[in-house]
Amino acid sequence: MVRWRQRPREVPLASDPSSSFVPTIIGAMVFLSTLVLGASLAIEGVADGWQITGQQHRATIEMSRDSASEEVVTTSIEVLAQLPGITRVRLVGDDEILETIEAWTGGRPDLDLLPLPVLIEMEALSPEALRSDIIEQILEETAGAVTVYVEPQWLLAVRSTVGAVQLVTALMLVIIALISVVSIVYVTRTALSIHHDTIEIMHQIGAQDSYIAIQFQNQSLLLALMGGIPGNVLAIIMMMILMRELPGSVEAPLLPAVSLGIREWIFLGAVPVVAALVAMVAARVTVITSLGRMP
Amino acid sequence: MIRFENVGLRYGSGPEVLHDIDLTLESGSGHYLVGPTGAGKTSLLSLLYLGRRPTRGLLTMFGQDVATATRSALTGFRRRIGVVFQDYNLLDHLSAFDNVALPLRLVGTDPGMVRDHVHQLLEWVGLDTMAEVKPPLMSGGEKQRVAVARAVIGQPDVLLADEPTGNLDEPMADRLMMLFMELNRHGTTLVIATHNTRLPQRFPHPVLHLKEGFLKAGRPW
Repeated sequence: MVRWRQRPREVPLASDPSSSFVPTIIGAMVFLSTLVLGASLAIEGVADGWQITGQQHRATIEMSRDSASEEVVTTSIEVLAQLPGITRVRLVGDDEILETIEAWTGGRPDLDLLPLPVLIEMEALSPEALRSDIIEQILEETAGAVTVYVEPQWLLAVRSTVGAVQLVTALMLVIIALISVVSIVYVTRTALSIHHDTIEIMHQIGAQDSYIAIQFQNQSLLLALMGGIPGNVLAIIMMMILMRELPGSVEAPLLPAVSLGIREWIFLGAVPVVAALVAMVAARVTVITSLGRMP
Repeated sequence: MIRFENVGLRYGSGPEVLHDIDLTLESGSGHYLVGPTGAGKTSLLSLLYLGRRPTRGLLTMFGQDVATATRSALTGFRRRIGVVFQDYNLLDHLSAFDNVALPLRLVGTDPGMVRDHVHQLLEWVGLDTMAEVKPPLMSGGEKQRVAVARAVIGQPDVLLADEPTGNLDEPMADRLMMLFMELNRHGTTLVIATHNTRLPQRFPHPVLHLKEGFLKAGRPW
């Protein structure tokens, strides 16, 4: 009978003190990253709900359906598009309007029975380009009296707050990633020092730096996954509990529900994999760089 | 194949331990390296197995200047050199089998072939029953035989041995020397550093006499 024989690791990294340190530190970092990323995605979801994501500022022009012939609408769009700072002007389709008000009417209303206005949406990079008094004045010649709705000031403030929060979370993710990388570099250098004699013997026998690096990178990958997966699971469980409990505890009916879609959950589930890959690459680069300095 | 021209070696900023070494080792040649303790035998061997680069002079190996060779080129050279170290340099956490298999695994040899070759060689050096034993549980002689098996398994172009029979009884020493001679007959360049005056008499080859870091002509005895 042929006995199965596991190929040993020439560099005995499994017995290093780092075997317990790396999972702990990566586990903690993945836990924090998952929470921070989850919070960022949730805020983005809320912002999407309020349509305040992106860099564009919006205004909506409401015209009476009686006075807004096709020619009037076309001319108005052309005139508005030529205003300074305007990036986009479009006619909001009837289907889109009906879809929007469906939430209030409880079903798709009949357009002939409901006196809906014609809506034109404008986008600009700066709020200064969307002054309602100027737009009303310009359209008076072509379309008569119109009503212009510009984003209110509080929404601008919310928009900038969301942007700032997202920037801070991105910064936190970068800091967490840096701490993880520095930890891996430190652990790898320590391991290189511990196993200096073994590495020297392997070099003398003809081992390439990359052959030795593979052992370190695989160990880092394994340890990072060992710590990262539990950290990630714990953070996801905590987020699920928070999302279930949060809506009931806040009396703010205007606030959109804080929830994540499948895409966002997949992003969060990928955090330990990304962390493990980062740890693997950090270990490899450290080993290759350090060994490259040897004679 | 290997040429030393006016080679000197020093460790760090210490005194020079090898001076003006001029030496040519032709492919397939065999030499003994002799001299008293501290004469520089191990230092000369370390230049030969590329553990160090000369601090002065020219050392060419396989037609290339060692001083200017890249790290990957040196790795390629090392794979063509088998070394039996005086202190064996075995990996203590690996079994005898895995220590001997290492040179073959480094070059990606098929696992089945590795298994056959290693068992064959361990049997030849009388350690087939100790394949799974790790070096800390072996005697000096057993470690030495594992080190010899590891050095020769890749059928190297150059075989360097530092006191390869130091811990062996006479029959086993002769057996290993016969293995070295057989490899030498098949084209392996051989350099054996030894204090054992019996070896050059029993297995005749030219002698390189090292004294106080200088290579001297003729035998010391």
